Order: sequence, then C-alpha cells, then structure tokens
Amino acid sequence: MIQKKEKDNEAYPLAKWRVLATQGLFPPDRKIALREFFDHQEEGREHYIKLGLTRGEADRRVLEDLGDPAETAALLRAVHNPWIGWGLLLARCLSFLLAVGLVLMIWTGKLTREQLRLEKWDGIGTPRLAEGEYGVSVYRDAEWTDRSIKVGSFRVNCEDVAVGHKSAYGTLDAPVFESENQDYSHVVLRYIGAPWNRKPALHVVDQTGRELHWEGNYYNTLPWETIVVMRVTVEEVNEYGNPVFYWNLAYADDVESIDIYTDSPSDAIHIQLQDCEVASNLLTMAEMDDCIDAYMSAMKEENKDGTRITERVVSRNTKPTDHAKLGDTDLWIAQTRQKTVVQFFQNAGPSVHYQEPYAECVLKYQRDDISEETLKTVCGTPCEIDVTALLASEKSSGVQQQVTNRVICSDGEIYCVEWRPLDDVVTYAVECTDPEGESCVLTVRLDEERSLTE
Amino acid sequence: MAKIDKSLLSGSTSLLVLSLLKSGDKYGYEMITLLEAMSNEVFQMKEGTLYPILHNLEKKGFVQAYNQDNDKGRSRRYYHLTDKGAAQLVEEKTQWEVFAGAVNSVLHCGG
Repeated sequence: MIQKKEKDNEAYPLAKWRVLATQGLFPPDRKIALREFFDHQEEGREHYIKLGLTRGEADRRVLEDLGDPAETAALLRAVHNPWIGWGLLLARCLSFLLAVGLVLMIWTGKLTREQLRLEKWDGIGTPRLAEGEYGVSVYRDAEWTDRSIKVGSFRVNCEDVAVGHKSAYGTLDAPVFESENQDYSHVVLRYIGAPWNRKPALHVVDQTGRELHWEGNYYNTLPWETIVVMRVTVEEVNEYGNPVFYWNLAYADDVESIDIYTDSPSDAIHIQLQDCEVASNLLTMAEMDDCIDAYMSAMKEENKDGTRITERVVSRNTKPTDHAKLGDTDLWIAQTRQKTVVQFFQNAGPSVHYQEPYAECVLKYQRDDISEETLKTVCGTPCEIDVTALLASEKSSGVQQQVTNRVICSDGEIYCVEWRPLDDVVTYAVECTDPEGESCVLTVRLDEERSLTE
Repeated sequence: MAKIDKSLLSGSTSLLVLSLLKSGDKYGYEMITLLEAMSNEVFQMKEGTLYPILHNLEKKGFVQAYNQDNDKGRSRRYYHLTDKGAAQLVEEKTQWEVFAGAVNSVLHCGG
C-alpha cells in the first residue's frame, strides 16, 4: 500500500504536492485545502494546455507556480492550528456525552427536575440557602423580619405569631373549617418552583401518616384535627425566573413533625415542628403588634351582618392554655396591638367576626423592686402594663405582687380579676372569678427570652 | 522589469487580496491571474502562499468562503469580502498611503 502510494506520487506530482502542502492539518481543514488545491491545479493545467503545452509540461509549470509545498504547509498550519481543532472536537464529544447522561438520569428518575435547578434560591427578605439545599422555607405568616433561625438544614425567616386561633383565619378563602375551638400552629411554607412548573403539587404528611395535599386551585377539606393547607398563592417571580409559592399551613397540636414534598416522596423535607425553634419561637409583643398591623392593613373583611371589621383581634396566647371555662362561659385571652390589653371573650372566642370583648384590662405592672428599666430589658418591649381598674389598685411589696382589680363587663356583670406574676415578669396568671364564685385561671405570657442568632 | 524583493510584497498581500475582492467575489486562481495582470506582472507571488492568506482572512472574518460549481460542473471555492473586511481594507489602504507617501517624501528630499 505504501509502495503504491509512493508510485502514485511519482506518477502524479500534483497529487504529491497537495499531500505535502496539507500535511499536519486537522482533518476537516485538510479536506477543504486539498479540494481547493486540486481545483487550482486543474485550472492551471488547463491554462497551460490552452497555451499549447503538453500535459506533462503543463503540470511542471503548475508546480513551479505553486512553489514549495512545505512552505505552504507551514503557513497553513499557522492558520489552522491542529491542536485547537482536536481540542474543539474533544469538547464537542464531551458535551454530547454529558447531555446524554443528563437525559438518561432524568428519564430514569435519578435526577429530579428540581435538583436540576442549579441557581441558588434567594427569596426576598430571607437569607440564602446553602448550595444544594432544597428550596423550601418554613416560616410564619406574612410579616418579614430580619431574623432567621435554623430548622434542620434550612433557614427560617421568623414572622408573626406562633399560635393562632383557627377561626381567625376563617376568611382566608377557606370557609370549610368547623368552629372547633382548638389551638393550632400556623406556618407558611414558601417554595421556589422551577420556571416551567407554575402549579406544583404540595404534599404534607405528619408523623402519623395523615396527609394533606394541594394541587391547582382547590383546598383539601380534611377534618381540622389534621394538617390543613389553607392557601396557596404565587406571589412573585424571583430574579431567576422561578415562581414563588406560598402555602399557609396550619397544624394541630398533636402534629409533631411534617414531611413535605412536591413531586416525589423521596424528595421529602422533614421538619420537626415541636422541637424546632419555629414551633417554640415567640415574638415580642411589639413584633406581634407589627405583624398584626401589617396583616390587618392587607385585609378587608366584613361581618356576616355586613358591617365592616376595622380591627382584627388575634389570639396571641401561647401554650399551655389561653382559654378556660368560667362556669358556662369560655374565656379567651387576646392581646391586641399597641398595648398589652387583655380581652375576654365569650363563647367562640376571638374570631374573624369580631365579637366584642365583654371585659378588657390593660395590664400595667408596677413593682417596687423592679425598675421600669429592668422591666423593659426583660420584656424586650416597652411593656407598660397599665391596669385601668375601676377600683384603685392595691399593691403589696415583695416578689409576689398582687394587683387586684375589678372589671365591669358589657353585660353588667362584675368580675374580680387578679393578676399574679408567676415568674420574672414574663408570665402572668389571670384568675377570673364570677359572682357565683366560679373561677378560672388564664395564663398570659408577655415575652420570653430566646436566642435566634446563629 | 525590475525584480521585486519578496519582503516588500509580503506586508501588502492582505491589502492586495482584500482590494481584489472589493470588485466582486473571486476564487483563488482567478485572484492570482488578476493580481499578475493588474500589476503588470510585478506581483508574481507563489500561488501556494495565496491560500494561507485567504484562510487567515477568513478566520479573522474579513472574507467568507463558499463553494460554487461553474458551468462545466467544476467546483470552485469563492471568497466574498465581508463588511468587516471592507472596513479593514479602508484602514490598510489608508496606512499604505501614509506609508508610501512618507517613503516618497524621504526619497525626494534625499535626492
């Protein structure tokens, strides 16, 4: 084969010139150059034959005109660097293999579409998640704060009250709830979806396997004892083009943990509710006031009788109790904005229909052994607790100060109310006694110390 | 005809090639013969060295190559002057005129 090639080159000097002039080129470039030189030589040969030369003489003249093939080859190699050519070919092959690999992984389910979302999630007002973390955040209702706490591997933006009364959320497009008076915890799940996924399904399963899911625009109407997803909205699209979904999630006291997933249970995120800082976190009174203000300013609601509700009362009390029975009457503690005003409601408690409280006290704590400055420090809020009693308050010295007041309720009945500090000015027991001598105790927590920094 | 030093030609080849293409698309052999004819046979470059120049101009985006068959069915690789190439031609021509003018000026002053 080699001998034949050499013989061919001898017999075909123009071919030999072409071979020499394109030596060392990247094959695709060489192919173009070979063809170009062939055409050039054919033109030259034709020209000299027309002038009367023989074929052999014409070929010799063409070779003379072309010059040194080695020189041409060197100049061509300078333009068509073979290393660059091979490098580009290798890069193309690797890209193709990578694309095939990705397709296979998606097809076999080994790589979910969500995991392909490579951009970092950076929700508005919340800290960035670390790379690789799933784009779900658990936080409490609407108001953004600057604080964040960790829940497992996620950062949580802490907002709003830890416990709310479910009837307070009756107007949130979820009128299906029964009027069961039960404390519940309320969090909002915020999820960043893939740009192509505008209506993701959300599945929430508690530790007993009870499950609620939301898809599209309807709301699951499981009994109140279970987890309830109340609302899903697409609030915005972030800078990466991802839709941001919000699920208002309320869960009963017996829910200890929840697993949340969208497409596949294998991608579930586990959140331990009872032990984590989210469930136990409390906001200061001032922060709760701000939250309520923000919430109320965004809401417009009406009573069933058509009158407009201008003020919303949301129970802020935390566990263990915020309501008790007083004889045949159920009492709830509700604390409104601006002041630590304790309101007493009958029957169904504070609700969206804004039953007027029939008794109200503004708490004011005065202790001889604790200065106002200290009080503020402990409470974290200018906690001026002012008891607007009908009768003059009686102070007693010592640690256990008792303030006794009488409150006249709207129906004319008088209740005696005693306020007793149970610990270092944080928790108060409110004992209510009706004229029949029935009494109950409600616990009011003004604040608690907590560490929310990393 | 005085024999021209190759080094005088080598710096001007891209200018000459771009200039040839300004009047229309051409293929390699055509450019060689035109160059020789238009320069009264002063510019007689080795034909093999034209193609590396053309390929280099194509790589820089000054010309664009395409294949076309002639009426005899023979394929030819034509070169077309791009807008970028036209701008480059203007610039090189200006540089040449300045250079030639300066050389002539020195020659005339030097006597």
